[in-house]
Amino acid sequence: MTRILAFAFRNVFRSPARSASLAAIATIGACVLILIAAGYEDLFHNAAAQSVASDGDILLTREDVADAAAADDVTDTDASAKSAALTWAEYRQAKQRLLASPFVKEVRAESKIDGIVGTAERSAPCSGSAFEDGVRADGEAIPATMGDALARTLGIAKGAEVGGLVADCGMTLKVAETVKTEATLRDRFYVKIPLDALVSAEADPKVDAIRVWLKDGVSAPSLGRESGSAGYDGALKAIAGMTELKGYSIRSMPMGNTEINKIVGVYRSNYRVVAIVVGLTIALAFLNVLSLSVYERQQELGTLRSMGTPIAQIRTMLVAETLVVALASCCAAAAISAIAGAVINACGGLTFPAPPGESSDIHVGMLVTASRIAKVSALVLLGGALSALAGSVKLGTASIVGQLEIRD
Amino acid sequence: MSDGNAESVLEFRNVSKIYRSGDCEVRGLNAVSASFGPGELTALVGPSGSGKSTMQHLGAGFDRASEGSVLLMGRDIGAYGERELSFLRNRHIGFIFQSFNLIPVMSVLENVMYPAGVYREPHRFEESPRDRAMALLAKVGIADQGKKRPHQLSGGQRQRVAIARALMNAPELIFADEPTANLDHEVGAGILDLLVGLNEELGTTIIFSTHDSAVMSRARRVVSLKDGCLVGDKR
Repeated sequence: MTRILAFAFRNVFRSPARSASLAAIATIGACVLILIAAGYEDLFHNAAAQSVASDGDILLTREDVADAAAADDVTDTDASAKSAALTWAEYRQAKQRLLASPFVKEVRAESKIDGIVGTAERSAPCSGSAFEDGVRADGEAIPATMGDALARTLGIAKGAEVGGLVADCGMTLKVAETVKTEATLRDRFYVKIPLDALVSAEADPKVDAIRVWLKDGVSAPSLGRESGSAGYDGALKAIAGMTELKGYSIRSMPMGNTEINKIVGVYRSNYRVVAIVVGLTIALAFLNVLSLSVYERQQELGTLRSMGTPIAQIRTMLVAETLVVALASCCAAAAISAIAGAVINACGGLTFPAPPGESSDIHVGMLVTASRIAKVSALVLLGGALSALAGSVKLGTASIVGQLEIRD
Repeated sequence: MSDGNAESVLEFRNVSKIYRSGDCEVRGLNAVSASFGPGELTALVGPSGSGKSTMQHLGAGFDRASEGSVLLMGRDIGAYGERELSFLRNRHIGFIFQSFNLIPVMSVLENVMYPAGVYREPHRFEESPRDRAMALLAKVGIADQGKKRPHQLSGGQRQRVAIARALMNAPELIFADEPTANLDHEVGAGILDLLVGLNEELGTTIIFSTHDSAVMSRARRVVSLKDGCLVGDKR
């Protein structure tokens, strides 16, 4: 095998210009694939990190009472069990128990709210959540996050004050920020207030959702990682073992973020198409050059066979020749991609114009990962090997006498 | 088990080779029967297209007969599969080409060593393949050229490398297809001297083709072909 590899290596340098141009095609293709993926990886990594920072690692949500009651096979007892939401006081005890777990860093509650908000001129129905974020409402005005649709309807902007009848309690809300909300919430305009405000207004509100942040080093399943870290199972066991949380369903937030997952799904489909096109282009380039090389070396290949070299050995040599070029291309692509990624990041990333409906530009950095380089390299090597096998198929049927004929 | 004459290294029994191209049929070799014994030095002679090369290709297992049998050391090679035939070519047959057919990316020494490395069989010879190749290069008179590439050698030197390569696995039978055709008269005579000397020294059966009367005069047996038919066999 060493002899075949040495022979193959020398054959690569028979026509340096041809080998170099073939390697350049493969390198460019591999670089394109690695850098496209690096841009998307960076985008998703940031999105996932932001999602975890704001939404937590694990979300406990109360089963929907209406859904449970509507199900034919669910008894009243089942329905009441499913709807057993914790009161604020019960939640605070449960929170202490959760925080005692070695895997849990932070726990915050959330309650659904409905109501009406408005100014002297306009008012609108609203729905959203009261969120325990550790910020106590001071004075009369309660800081609120408001959906764009609601803010536009009321004709108000950040800093404005509105009156509200939220959860049957009168409040004065001050718009802390306006956010873009999902389309499904537009008919009931979104508003988010601190849970403290609700607790102050309502004696013992029900907790509809509990968000859990895991300690550093403990992580939930996420994009590109289908299982959580070792501590993740411990955190799940701790939560599942608490009887007071039986009425809540558990899900991993990074995986459960439908918006991100939707984008990731689209990206993966598009990337596969690009990868197939680039892979085929590289494979065809290899096939073309190898076919030419085999044609030019017919007499030599015939001579090798005349000395008893089995066709399998000759095929191995041709595949090895292709793999030498493919491997060199992969190494070059890895180095170029890593350097290009570092340069782009040092320059602050790439900036793309805001898509329709968005106000801010998109900034994309480059997250060149070893696993992505390995995957792209595997694709290039596989394409090279398959094209070499395809290019040498005719060797099996070619006659030695025909190969030995001198070609001008 | 032996199928043929135990005395012969190579035997053609009523062998025909038919080349087909569409509806056209050409007989490259027509019902040829001949036997070549151990240590014979035979010249295949005849004009171009008489079937000399075809007979050598069939004898060397490069091609298969359309009719009849080719027996190598008593065994019909027509019954061999591709793998067995490859092994047989490697171990029992050497072939010297008119245009040398050396591998350009290998050094002279590597070219000579090549046949020994195709199938691993340690200790087949007492010396290592490298030592054996060096000894063969010395025998053909180019011991000091081992590190050079083929393109750095003259035509006569290249043919000497090809002869050393053909001898590497100590085959029972060596074919030489017009070995002096691409060389000038003096160099060609030297190559012929070498082949005759090796035949006498090693006892290897050598069958070479030529249409040069001076060359054929060096053979101890002359087999004449014309239009694919055997028309003479003089010893």
